[in-house]
Amino acid sequence: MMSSSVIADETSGNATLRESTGTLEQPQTQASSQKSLSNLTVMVPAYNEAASIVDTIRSIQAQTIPPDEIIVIDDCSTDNTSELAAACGVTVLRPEKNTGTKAGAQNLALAQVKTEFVMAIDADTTLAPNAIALLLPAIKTPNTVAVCGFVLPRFVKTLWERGRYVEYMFAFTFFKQVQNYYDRPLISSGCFSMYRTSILQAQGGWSTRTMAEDMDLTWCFHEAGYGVKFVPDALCYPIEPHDFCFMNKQLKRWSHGFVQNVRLHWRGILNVKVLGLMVTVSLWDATVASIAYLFILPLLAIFVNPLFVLGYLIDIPAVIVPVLYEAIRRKEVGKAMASIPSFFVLRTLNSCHMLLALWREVVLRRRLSVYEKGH
Amino acid sequence: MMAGLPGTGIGGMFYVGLTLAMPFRELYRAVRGKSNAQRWSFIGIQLGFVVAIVAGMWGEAWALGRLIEWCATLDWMGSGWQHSMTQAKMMSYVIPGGALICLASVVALFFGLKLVVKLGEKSRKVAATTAADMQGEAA
Repeated sequence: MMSSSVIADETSGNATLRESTGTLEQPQTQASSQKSLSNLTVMVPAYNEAASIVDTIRSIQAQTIPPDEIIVIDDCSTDNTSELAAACGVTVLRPEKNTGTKAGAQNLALAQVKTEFVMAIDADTTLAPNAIALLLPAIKTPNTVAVCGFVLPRFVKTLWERGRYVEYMFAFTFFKQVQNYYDRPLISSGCFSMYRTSILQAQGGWSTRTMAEDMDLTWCFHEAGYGVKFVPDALCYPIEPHDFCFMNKQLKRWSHGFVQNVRLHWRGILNVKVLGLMVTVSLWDATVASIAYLFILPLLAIFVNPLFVLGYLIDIPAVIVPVLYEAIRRKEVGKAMASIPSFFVLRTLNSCHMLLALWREVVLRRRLSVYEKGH
Repeated sequence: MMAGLPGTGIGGMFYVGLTLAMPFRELYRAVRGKSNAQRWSFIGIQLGFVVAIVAGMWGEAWALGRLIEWCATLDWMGSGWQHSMTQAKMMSYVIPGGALICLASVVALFFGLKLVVKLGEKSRKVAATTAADMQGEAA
């Protein structure tokens, strides 16, 4: 059994755990025996991801076009994430102290990337075998600096996972495809996106100024006139929050992140065709629709006419149609239909978080700055 | 992550509008030689969604209307159900109409804000140029 060694990187002052130990099984080495088809480095920021990191690494190594290098940034985990990752034969970076955010961890690795393209993937996310192969042609189109794929929850069991499953099926089948048609994907998902390394490095990597660094980066790219694309056939499967507590933390982060980005970028995106309008409508819905959903409809139902409860059902066809289409394509009709009610529960929780985020960020001026994944 | 609330409010209507505008945009692209069969096929699917959504919502409204009428025939609440039917009919016009007006207002607000910001930037530029000129003259 080989032992790994910690190597101090004297230039940066960071201690790094380098190279493989090959202990658990014989891992596929990092494309050393293959000519590079991808010119790609995959970065995986991780904090206490021992339960999922091996699956993630294996899914990257099993790609039809594997990357040149896989870097796991172990952000000072208290479990054995580092050891498990190193045993898979990948490069592991470990800063001296926790960077505090996913963006911070990713930026640490970004400085070391030498390939033309770089991909960021969450440590709890696995990829379909052809995901990289499908993204590469898109990132190589002129002026395109970021590409993202379709996201589906890996597990669809609990109420919250089911709600998220329907939410993604709807959004990635309908909304995101329309955004992509107009060359304005609203977000290049942080859990699974590929970038042109030089542009990303020139941009300064991922900013830590908001709780939604993927949205911040995407809007920066749009404002700078760069292209962002969505490739619907490139699939990834993150582990979504399975309980209320975990979901709460994630929605809190996302809601605050959205509001922070709107406040930061509103002047810039006004001049980006279609994007400004998309964000304005989203903000309106996040505010007004949430107020209607949580307060106006119940009050009208109680004090005017119980029929106002039907307001919660009005847009069921709007949700079901794209979800059913995609479910038929994936042969998951039963799973999708059984999950529809969960979507409406999740949407209610989402409404609460949106209003709270607007209240705290805009009215109380209390900025959320602590990045908490939730598990 | 999802910004806003998928499906609800005017967001859905907005994306329906964007989808309905796709054939016209694509026609413009086709004239400039930038279109292809795959893009038209994609537009066809998205338009199919819109047709199915509108048909579904109309069907839903029709079914709910019939349900309320049937409840009225049972006379559980006497004239209460007749009143509910009238209100339900009103809602079926007011809600979509209201949402359309809402969407139009948001779009108008957006372009209004854009104009205000642009004018503000222009006047700031003019003020900065004037101040620079005056400084130059004073020097």
